[in-house]
Amino acid sequence: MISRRTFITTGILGAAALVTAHWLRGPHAPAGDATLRVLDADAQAIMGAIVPVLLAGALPIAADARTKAVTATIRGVDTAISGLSPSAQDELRQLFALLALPPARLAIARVSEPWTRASEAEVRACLDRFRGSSLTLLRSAYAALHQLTFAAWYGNPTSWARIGYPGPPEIPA
Amino acid sequence: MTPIRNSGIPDPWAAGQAAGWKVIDASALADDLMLDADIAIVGSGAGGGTAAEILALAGLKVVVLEEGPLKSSSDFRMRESEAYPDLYQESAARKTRDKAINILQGRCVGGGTTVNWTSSFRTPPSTLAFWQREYGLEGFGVDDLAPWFAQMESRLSIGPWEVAPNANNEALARGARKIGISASPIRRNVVGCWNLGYCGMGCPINAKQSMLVTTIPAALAKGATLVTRVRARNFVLTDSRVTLLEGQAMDATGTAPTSRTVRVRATAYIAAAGAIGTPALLMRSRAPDPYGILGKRTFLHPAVVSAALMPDRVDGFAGAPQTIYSDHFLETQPIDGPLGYKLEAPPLHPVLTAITLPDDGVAHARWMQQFPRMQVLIALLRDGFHPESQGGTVRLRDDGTPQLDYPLLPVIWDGARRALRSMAEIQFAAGALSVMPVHGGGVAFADPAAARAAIDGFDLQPLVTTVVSAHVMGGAPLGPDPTRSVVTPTGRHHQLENLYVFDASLFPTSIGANPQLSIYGIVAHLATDLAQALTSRR
Repeated sequence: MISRRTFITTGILGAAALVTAHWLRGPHAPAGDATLRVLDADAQAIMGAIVPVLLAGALPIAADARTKAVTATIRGVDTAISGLSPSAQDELRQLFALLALPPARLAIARVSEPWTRASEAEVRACLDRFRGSSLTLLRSAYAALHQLTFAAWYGNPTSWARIGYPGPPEIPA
Repeated sequence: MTPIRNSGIPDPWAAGQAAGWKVIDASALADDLMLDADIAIVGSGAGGGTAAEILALAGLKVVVLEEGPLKSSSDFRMRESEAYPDLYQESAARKTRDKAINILQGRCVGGGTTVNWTSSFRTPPSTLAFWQREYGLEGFGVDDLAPWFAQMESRLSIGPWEVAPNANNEALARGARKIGISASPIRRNVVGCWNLGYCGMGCPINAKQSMLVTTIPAALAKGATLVTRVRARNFVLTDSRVTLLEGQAMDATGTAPTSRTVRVRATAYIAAAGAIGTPALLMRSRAPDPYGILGKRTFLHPAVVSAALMPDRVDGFAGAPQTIYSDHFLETQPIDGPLGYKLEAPPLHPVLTAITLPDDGVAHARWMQQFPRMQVLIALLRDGFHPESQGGTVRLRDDGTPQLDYPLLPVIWDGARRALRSMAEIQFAAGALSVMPVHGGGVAFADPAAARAAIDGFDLQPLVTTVVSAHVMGGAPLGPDPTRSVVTPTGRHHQLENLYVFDASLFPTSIGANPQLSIYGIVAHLATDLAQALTSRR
């Protein structure tokens, strides 16, 4: 895994903030699912906040089914990222590592609480800001989160009944 | 894991491997591999597959290296979540440098032909005339190429599709008729097609006549060797010749190389790794490029998208994916003027639809809940003819993998805007209740005037307006003039006497049509000449 300190492509925060990232980053997110291949605990916490917002209106209503669907989608995002080129995987790791840093979370995402406690309203506003940003870097971050999340959810047969998709046809043996 | 359900369909690969076809999965190699051959071919797609059969039938010893895995009908379960990671470059999420264009490119045995939507067009006469006029390319006129197209049409059973179009394509035909523009049926390369609609995930019944079920098996039956999951790293050059091809085995996931190498020593070498892979391979080989042409002018047919809601079910996931097209906006204007566009209807499956639709949350969910009534058109812009449409540039990342930088310039957005207008007009004429040009926050319009006015005012931008591509072309063009082309009109490298480029990289511009038949026909021509040259020396 690439070092967090190698993240230099943005210029949004400036190099100084990133060099000090190590001692600024504060407490880690609670231990995540260690069986995921790419997403670490921090990244899982970020996706845990973002997935329910992107999939609002698509997820099951019942709390239990909803939690399961979010967990499955995060796992699907992890699987999807693990199929990308090493360079694309690195870029996404850097994106998550950046968003996990409290200064970046506050300054770029403008999410005031750690991701595990982030309010839907702040996450919603963050996604809107990324999508509408004048910086292509932030727009591409939105596009990546959008594509990964929707690919993971709608690749999952659980989602199909709700959209009236019968699934692939049976091939008679 | 559910059991494979389509076990009743005979899989030619099961039979072939039982009969002793030489197929090596490099991800499982315990040792480095060294092979000798007359011809080493990099890539098993439209170019590599066509060349492999012709050269093997000529009695030459052929080795084909393929970066992707061998997956065949018994693996094809028509699920996007499996097909994209298994069969596509970068899990179908390959992007241009600024990530503004998503590129669908095959990466498996059969390459793009295993996953394409079967649309078969001869190279348009206007494109061939432009090549002759602008690039001095002789011998590639309509009449010159007609026998080669006919040969490959016969080989791959390309012909009219007699079944009624699905509702997604029928809407294009209906809308075009209403507004008074031409629309025509698309010819397809299928035999015994069940009209399932899952061509993009690998044909589960071997109806699609891709390289996977035609030329590659024929070459293997003639004694060719296929090595899968190996990434060609570079050619070794000695003076003006290639003396070795060096490859790295990939791991079973296909994302990272292992420590095993695969090397091939051959008389002649063919690069057919596609129009991103081939220029990158030549760059990694430090192939001479005295005029700085390699990897430049790479074209994509950048496509914009328009989604509509119909009163009745469309079920765009069912039925042959592309059966109707309109070239009205290609044929009614000069080829080198403002960009023209080809109109087609794509297959609609949940993942591809969901990632293409703009917006998120409740608004996105509402559209997805109308999925069965959704009708979608795409407009493929004909890039590479207008003087300001110079395409993109392939470069190498630090790790040696390629990246395409394709700037979306005003000349592209001008075409995109006209295309979005045309698609909305056609969709309303076909009876759409609302039309959403795929741009920005995804606003839907209930009538043509409102849509047109809005589209005229759109601030079209990278990563605001969705742009996609499934056709990568150019970057190692053929031509007589070494200052303007990488290879000669025989496909041979201008500076390297035994290196050939036989894929879509050859094209000096985009094609202006789905390119598979252009690749088949032109490569059949070049490979036949190469086979004659090599066998007559014996």
